Amino acid sequence: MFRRSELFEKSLFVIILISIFAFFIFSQLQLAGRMLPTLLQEHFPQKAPAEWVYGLLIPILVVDFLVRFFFQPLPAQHVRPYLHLPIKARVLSLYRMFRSWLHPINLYLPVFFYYFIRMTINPETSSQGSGLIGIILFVAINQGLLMWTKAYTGNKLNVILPVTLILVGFVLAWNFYQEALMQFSLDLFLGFVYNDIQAFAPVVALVLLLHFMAYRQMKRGFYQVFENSAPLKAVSSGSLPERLLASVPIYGQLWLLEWQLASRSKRSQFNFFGMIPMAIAFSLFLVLWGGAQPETYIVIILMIAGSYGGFHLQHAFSWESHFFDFLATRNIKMKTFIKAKFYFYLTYAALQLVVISPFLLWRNIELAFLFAGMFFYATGFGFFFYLRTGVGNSTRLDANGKSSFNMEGVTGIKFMQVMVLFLSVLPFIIIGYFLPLQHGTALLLGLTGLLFILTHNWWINGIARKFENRKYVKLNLYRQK
Amino acid sequence: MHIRIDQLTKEYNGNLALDIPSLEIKKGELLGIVGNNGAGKTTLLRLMLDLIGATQGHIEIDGENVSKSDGWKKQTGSFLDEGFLIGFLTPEEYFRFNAETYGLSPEETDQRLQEYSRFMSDEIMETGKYIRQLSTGNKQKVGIIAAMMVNPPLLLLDEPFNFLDPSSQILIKNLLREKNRQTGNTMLVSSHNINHLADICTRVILLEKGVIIKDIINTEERKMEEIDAYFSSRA
Repeated sequence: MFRRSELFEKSLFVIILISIFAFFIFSQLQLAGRMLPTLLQEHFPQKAPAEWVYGLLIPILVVDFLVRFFFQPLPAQHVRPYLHLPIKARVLSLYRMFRSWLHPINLYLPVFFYYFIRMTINPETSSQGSGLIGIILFVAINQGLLMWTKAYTGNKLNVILPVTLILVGFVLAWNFYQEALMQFSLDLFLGFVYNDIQAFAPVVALVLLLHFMAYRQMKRGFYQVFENSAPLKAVSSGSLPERLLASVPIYGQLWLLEWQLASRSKRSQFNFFGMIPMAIAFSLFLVLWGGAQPETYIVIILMIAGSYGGFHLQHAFSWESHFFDFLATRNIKMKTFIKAKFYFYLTYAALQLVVISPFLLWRNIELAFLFAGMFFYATGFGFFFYLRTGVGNSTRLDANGKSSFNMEGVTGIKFMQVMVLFLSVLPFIIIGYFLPLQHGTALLLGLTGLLFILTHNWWINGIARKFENRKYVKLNLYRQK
Repeated sequence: MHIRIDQLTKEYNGNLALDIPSLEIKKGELLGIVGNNGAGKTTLLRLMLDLIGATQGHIEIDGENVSKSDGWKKQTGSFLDEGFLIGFLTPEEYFRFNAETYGLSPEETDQRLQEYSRFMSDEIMETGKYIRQLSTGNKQKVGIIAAMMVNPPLLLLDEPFNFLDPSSQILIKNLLREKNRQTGNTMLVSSHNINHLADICTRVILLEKGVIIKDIINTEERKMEEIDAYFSSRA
């Protein structure tokens, strides 16, 4: 029997944490399913709750697919060991599809609708069970579509543009044909609950077609999908950003290395390239619907303001664990190495702030102040915090692992460290609230962060010394496979 | 470069892995290190590169304690294992990054690489592959070339003949011998392959359970036969 490295196994703490989280999500979905009819009735009485929700099944599916597209990779780890055995590609492709179906994302819509259907469908005149089967078929459409898309693109993200275009197309279609689409969605669902074969037949046919297409595609590109590599076109060295980075004095080569690490590794490339669009989307959301108190979203603002650096530096030095012996034997000073990292991610976050500033300044100056303050806090104090705690990161990390999530070596302590950083903004909110200043919280956060940025030479020296003191232990652990 | 080892011991969980009371390696020597698995060859090289800490004693390179300073790094080229490779770079990028740490320009790097074109045999450069996508043998070649191309006054290689096809083994053997003769650089090469070491090394030490049990100047053919006989008796 194949066993994965124990580094991939989750600790008891993480298992308990995940269980609590899963229970929380489940109870929230249950609550939403039970409460939504009442809430809709109160706030949007012009239509029955069932009409609202079952009329919106198409946009719900579109959003569900988008979420899947970014967060549901095709499973590879579970299947890869069997590649060494004489098992036919078609069997492994089917097994892979089965493993893909086990992804928890397939549960949330059925759980929510199980309760919602019970609250909105009368069991005496129609079938609640058939309604739920209809929802599961909808989930199956997206699951099939996702498997086909990911198999077609080799689990890579180079279809972001087509997906975005399709999304834009849908938004336009929704804009012009909203009533017709809502009516179609409602009729289809009513067909399900009345056991109408005309409703089920095309949906089942679509599900089967998508699954067949996914199976064919998986079989066709079987070995390519399991190839642990980035697209070859990315190999061409000397692209414009790379040339620009390499030309930076003193830190150029280290910046280039950082760029190559972040942009060519599976674990990082999604967040690296996705962070700026994500920040734009989030700031737009806050500007349009965030309300008058942006402090409510302060933890998310903290994550966004630190940009990709916040994600990367949580695992500081582990990213280089595979080649730290090389770095340790070459003429690269630890202090310079850490500084290069700090400057690189500070610049990246600053670039992001510049890009999102027009959206922030457009309608919500309050929010712009908070973002600016948080930029300094996340890059000053936040980066200091991650780099300092990173001295304790002695886990070997496979930067080319298949997914940004399920990071091996994510321990309870690491989780708590991140929580500490998130909670550290609370005192600023409280003090800021009592300060007789208009943007008290933003000002306090900004000044604190600025202090850390201005003193970075001093604390980076300290971190480099700490790292050197623990060098032998760390290098030894980095070598452990 | 001149290396001096003094009262060096390394223990792992109380077990003695290496014990070298004294050893001098003179400038220009091509020293072969032989020994069975677990003899302490890699441990010795890692200690020389300050990748692990000594339990006692120290190693000096040109009078500089390797664990107390960094000056030796610019003078030392090394390749021990895959931990010396950067998998997400192409070989070209890796050579450039490595050379840059020794102060070589991209033009100088390209020029130096010409010397190794036969050894690379069209399988390494301009293949459009990252190092992690290369075969084990080609990864080994990339590591060896990166260590050698900067012409370091001190070169350390661990099992350089492993994973290489016979032609490449002979090529690298000749390259090492020629480089040593031309430049007078000090070289330390550990290997299980006694024949290769006997062919190129000016001196060979035999390690057994962390202790040097033979130290042979390789002009005395009879003594190399002794090493051969020693391993035959242990087989």
